[in-house]
Amino acid sequence: MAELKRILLAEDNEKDVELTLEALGEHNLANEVVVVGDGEEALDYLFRKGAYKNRLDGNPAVVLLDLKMPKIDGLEVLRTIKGDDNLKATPVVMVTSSREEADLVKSYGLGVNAYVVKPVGFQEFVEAVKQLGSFWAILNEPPPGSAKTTRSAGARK
Amino acid sequence: MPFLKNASIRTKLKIVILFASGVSVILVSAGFFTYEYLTLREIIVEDLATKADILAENTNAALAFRDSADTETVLASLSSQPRITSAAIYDLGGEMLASYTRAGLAVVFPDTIPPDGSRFSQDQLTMVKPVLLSGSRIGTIYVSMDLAGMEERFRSYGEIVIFMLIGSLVIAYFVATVLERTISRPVMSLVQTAREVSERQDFSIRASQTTNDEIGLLVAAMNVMLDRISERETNLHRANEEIRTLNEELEERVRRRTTQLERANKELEAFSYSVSHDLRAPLRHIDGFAQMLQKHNSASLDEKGLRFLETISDSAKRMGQLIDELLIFSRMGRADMRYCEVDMNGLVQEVLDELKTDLNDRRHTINSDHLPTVTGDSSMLRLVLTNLLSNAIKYTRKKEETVIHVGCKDEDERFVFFIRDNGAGFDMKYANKLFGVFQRLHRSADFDGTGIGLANVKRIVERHNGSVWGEGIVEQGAVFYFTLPKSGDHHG
Repeated sequence: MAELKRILLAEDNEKDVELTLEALGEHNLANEVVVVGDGEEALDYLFRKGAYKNRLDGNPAVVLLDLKMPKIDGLEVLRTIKGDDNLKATPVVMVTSSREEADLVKSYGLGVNAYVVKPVGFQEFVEAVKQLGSFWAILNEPPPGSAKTTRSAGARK
Repeated sequence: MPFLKNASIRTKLKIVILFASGVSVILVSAGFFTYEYLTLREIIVEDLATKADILAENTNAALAFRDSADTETVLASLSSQPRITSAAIYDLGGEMLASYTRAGLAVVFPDTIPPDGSRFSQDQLTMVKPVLLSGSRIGTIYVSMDLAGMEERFRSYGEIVIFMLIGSLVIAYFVATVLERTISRPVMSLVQTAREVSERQDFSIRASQTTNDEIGLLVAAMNVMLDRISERETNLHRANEEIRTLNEELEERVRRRTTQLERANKELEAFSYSVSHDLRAPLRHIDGFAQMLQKHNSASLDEKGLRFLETISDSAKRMGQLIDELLIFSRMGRADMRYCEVDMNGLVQEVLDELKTDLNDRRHTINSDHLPTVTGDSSMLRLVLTNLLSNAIKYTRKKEETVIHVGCKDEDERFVFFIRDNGAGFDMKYANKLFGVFQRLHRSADFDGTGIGLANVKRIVERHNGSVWGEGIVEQGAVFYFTLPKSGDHHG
């Protein structure tokens, strides 16, 4: 059985969340996705604080970060992850509408692992999310300590 | 007199005075000397004539009687006259009756008697006079005189003249020194003032006027000139101050404007950032949910409903495309230029390779002249070529054969690149609309496009300090020109 690894999706826009999950679901990749609505919640999850105090062990295999979020934005979350000894090995992918060079430069400067611009067309969007999901949740071998489940055992969220 | 050119004015004055006084002393001495010489000669001649007359008087009786011995005796008395060297008495027939020669001298008497009168020879004065008796001539007397004494006298005259000359020159030198000062002192003080003014650049110094002659006038004129200069200096200083103040104000204003501009630019950046991020999200949702609707509910939708959904998706995608291009356009205006050497041949080839798929299986002839290497931002220039070449390919779509030619004209200061096609062309009366944002001369149904490509071309070419224009004939083709300066002025 191929292992399906946990994905943390930080996205403030519910419609984008729905579209993303739809795209992942189309390829049976949506069962181990944790969705958080802003940067603060993302950090709470990663550092097991607040509502996520009692969550399951292990870091996500990949963090999909929106750049523009309320309270704490994606770049700040990225900076915190890459500055933490326990988390810095966790792959982070920026998924954003912004094509601005400044954002690209800043993200790579902070050590982002990939940068994906959301296409406007739905078909292209689905294709992009599918590739992201299958690469990071199946193909890529995450650093030790990441949470793992098997595809069959995963409960659909 | 070139040696005088570099001499000081004092030396010149002295030389002039000494020269003038020397010349006048020499002239006076020469006159004096000449006068003395002539007078002396006259006295000597008169003296000798008197002596000859006395001799003639004393010997006329003896001559009348042709008494040679008596005549000799009278002539012998001449020995008391040391200057007389010789004498002779002749009768009317020219025969010598008696002669005298000073002791110790060998004198040769002339064979024939010279005519009456006196004549000077080298160092002799000879006098020939008639011997008269009762008023009628009975013979001739010849007397010769040594002039050595006269020469001596002249020498002493000469010595006096030279002494006087030297003496007067010495006196003239002292007088010149004193006189020269009265002229040179004001000149020197004027020179000193001029030197101080020019060395210290101090225009408040004035020369003091001590005389009312030409030098005095010069001093006065120079003081007037200095007044004017110092006035101008003051004015200049004031004007400079004003310019400086104005400059500072201007700089302050520029600084303020720059701050405003920077703020406006930041706002604009923030605006385009929002456009890029926030406008795209709803479009993605429109398209996404329309597609999801189609996928999940296609069974309950009729053909019309499906077409509506299609149109919703297409419009959303088109708006996304417009936003993307508008963002590129705004970025082209803001992005920093990265100048480097760009080989236009290579660039044209690369762009054509990228656009190859658009040609599909069309019959086409695309050729390019040899193009120069220019200085510019290569990614921006690539966008220019991409836009112009893709336009050329797009608008020749309906022709039997696509013919595109890329060339370059070398003008003095610039290169004029052009891309000619045989496509749909355009009406020249709309030529001014070609390069406007979202301006289109063709309907989307005929040729797709957003109407921003040429606006981008214009913006990029103008940032390279070039210009761009187009020429077209409807249904026959179009030529687009853009220029790039050869020097590659790096600003803008």
